Amino acid sequence: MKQWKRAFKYLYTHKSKVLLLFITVFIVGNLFMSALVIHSSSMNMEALFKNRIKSTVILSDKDVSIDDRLDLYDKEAVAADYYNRLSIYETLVSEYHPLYSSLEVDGRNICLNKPNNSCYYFFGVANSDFFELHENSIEITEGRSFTEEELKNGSPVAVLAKDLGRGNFFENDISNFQVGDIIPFSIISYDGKKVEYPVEIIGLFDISDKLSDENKYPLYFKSFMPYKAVTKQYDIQNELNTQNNPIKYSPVQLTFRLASDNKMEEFLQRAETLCQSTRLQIFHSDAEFKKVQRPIMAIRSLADKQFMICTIALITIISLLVILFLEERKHEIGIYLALGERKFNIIVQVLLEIITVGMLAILLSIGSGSKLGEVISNKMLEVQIQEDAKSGANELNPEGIDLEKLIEMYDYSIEQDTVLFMMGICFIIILFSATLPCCYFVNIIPRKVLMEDL
Amino acid sequence: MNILETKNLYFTYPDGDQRKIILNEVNVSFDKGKFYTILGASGSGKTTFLSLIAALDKPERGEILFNGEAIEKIGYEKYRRDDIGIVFQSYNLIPYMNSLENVMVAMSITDNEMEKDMKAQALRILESVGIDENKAKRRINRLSGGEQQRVAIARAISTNVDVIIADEPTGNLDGKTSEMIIDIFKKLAHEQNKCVIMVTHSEKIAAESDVVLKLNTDTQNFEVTS
Ligand SMILES: Nc1ncnc2c1ncn2[C@@H]1O[C@H](COP(=O)(O)OP(=O)(O)OP(=O)(O)O)[C@@H](O)[C@H]1O
Ligand SMILES: [Mg+2]
Repeated sequence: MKQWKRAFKYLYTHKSKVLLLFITVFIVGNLFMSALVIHSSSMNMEALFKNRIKSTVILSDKDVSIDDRLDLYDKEAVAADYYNRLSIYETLVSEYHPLYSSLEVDGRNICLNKPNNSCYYFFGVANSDFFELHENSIEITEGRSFTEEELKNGSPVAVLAKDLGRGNFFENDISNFQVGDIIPFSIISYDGKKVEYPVEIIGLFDISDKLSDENKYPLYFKSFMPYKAVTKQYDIQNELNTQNNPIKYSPVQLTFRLASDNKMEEFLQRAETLCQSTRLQIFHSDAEFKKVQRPIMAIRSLADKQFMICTIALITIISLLVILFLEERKHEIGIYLALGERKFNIIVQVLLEIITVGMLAILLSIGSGSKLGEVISNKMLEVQIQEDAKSGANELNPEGIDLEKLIEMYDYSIEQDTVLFMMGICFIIILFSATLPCCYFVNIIPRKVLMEDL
Repeated sequence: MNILETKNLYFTYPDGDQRKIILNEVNVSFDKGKFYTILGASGSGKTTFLSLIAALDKPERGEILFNGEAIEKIGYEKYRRDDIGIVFQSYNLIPYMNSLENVMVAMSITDNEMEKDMKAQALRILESVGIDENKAKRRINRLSGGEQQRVAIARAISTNVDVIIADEPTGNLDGKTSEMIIDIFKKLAHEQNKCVIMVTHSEKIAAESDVVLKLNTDTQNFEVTS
């Protein structure tokens, strides 16, 4: 009868005790695992965000006067030199027909290129390796990107999504563009004056398959031009409209992806002086990160507290149960001692019993505990987001990180490391809290339990 | 040389504010091949004496020698494991195991050489004390008191020890069963050359033994009669 055989014999013949131990450990194990899942998923989330909005500065405002905007462009060279990965966008609606329709796709307002009422969003870029290209969200598969010359002169050339004109996305196939085609844009004033503004297609791009559908859609309608070509359209339009209402404001968003994190401080200082004369708002990754981080951190700190409480609870429960069980088994321990069994072996037997039941309960609590963690975490996130909404902290986020989407983005899948960590920690806790009482009980004097306690 | 010997064994219990002397400088010795009985009034300290020579507790003073070596030096645990077998008045079997397992637990604990087929050996020993295979596989609490006592004896002798200590093993048994058990003890002493030390209240049983030790409550010491 080796210790493990004795241990299993004991477990087999003491099912109610086994059940009691199992259920208590299982309950604590669930809380334990859920805390761990919340903690590790929030860590993943933080890493994900850090990676996603890493060293990005976005200057954005919906209503920036054209003068201010031009002022920014003047300084752009400095910034470009200094921050070698730079791209500037300007969103501009260019019409060659006064009417344009919009269609809701996935909750976004998107302009369509229908023959009679079409519009294109042109994004002015300052770099041949512009943002989307640089980030590999798109790949120019036909034609080329802009030359330095075209960027400098503001030539009327464009890079479009291949699918935009090819009817792959919408039923109405109108343009079927090829590289070299000229789009016959015209700029029309409010009083009907018209100026031709033909734009040549120099490149067509494919959208990366790696992007989620949600991130793909907007790219179908993004067309790129040198930013100077975009501002030129404004200028023409303003010239035509001098008597009436000149276009003073247009949406502007500048995205700076910095070459390295350490330049952030310095760049922000520059950007601030740059923005003082304008009403531009600075979003930068640190600030953005803190904004998203806030609810995550709040939840994590709760999870950490839960973790601590569970650790203490597990230690207390195991110790108390082991004391309770051993108190009842004093006589049995006395018998083993009287037979000359080594104290160590008696401890091993009891530990085998406790660990078998305890670890089984922990193992089974991993699945349900992580589900529980998901539920708790989502509930807490909702509460946090509602609080943020009330306090106005949940503002438009230019990187497209909607706090509402946080829940969807949360990855609760349990990794092997988490499971191993959980098993390891619980093993140590169970071992630790069971060993101490065992050590006490094997030091009883056998005469006392065998001769007196009857 | 005596197999077991006590030297100035002294033991007291707390009695109110004072201490009551139970064993006062006890010097006795035991030999192999002999059947000893210990007599004495209830509360005289027989069980206490047995628990000291069985190394279940430490004497306050004095020492116990096994084959001339102090058991403290041998190590209490090792001494219990390899040198003695104990039969308790209240059996002290492990309740969640069957008879066979109870015997095998002792056999697996001892360092003494056991047969390769431990189970067969255990069954044989149980058979020798009148426990057949069916009973051997029955849970302890489904055996009668006499049967449990016999399992306890089987466990004590299973480890091939030279000294067997028994505390009133026949106390709860009828005359016939009790006779059978005394017979087993006698055989152990005379045929297998063991040293058997047994506490009893029965003068009749004592008469069957080779040496009688009477624990005197006044002197807290033994009077030996052969
Ligand atoms: N832990 C203890 N504390 C105080 N006194 C004790 C303790 N254990 C036993 N005694 C006393 O010591 C004396 C000897 O007890 P012991 O059990 O050795 O007697 P015994 O001879 O075996 O008696 P019996 O024949 O009734 O079994 C008794 O008077 C008992 O009351
Ligand atoms: Mg007694």
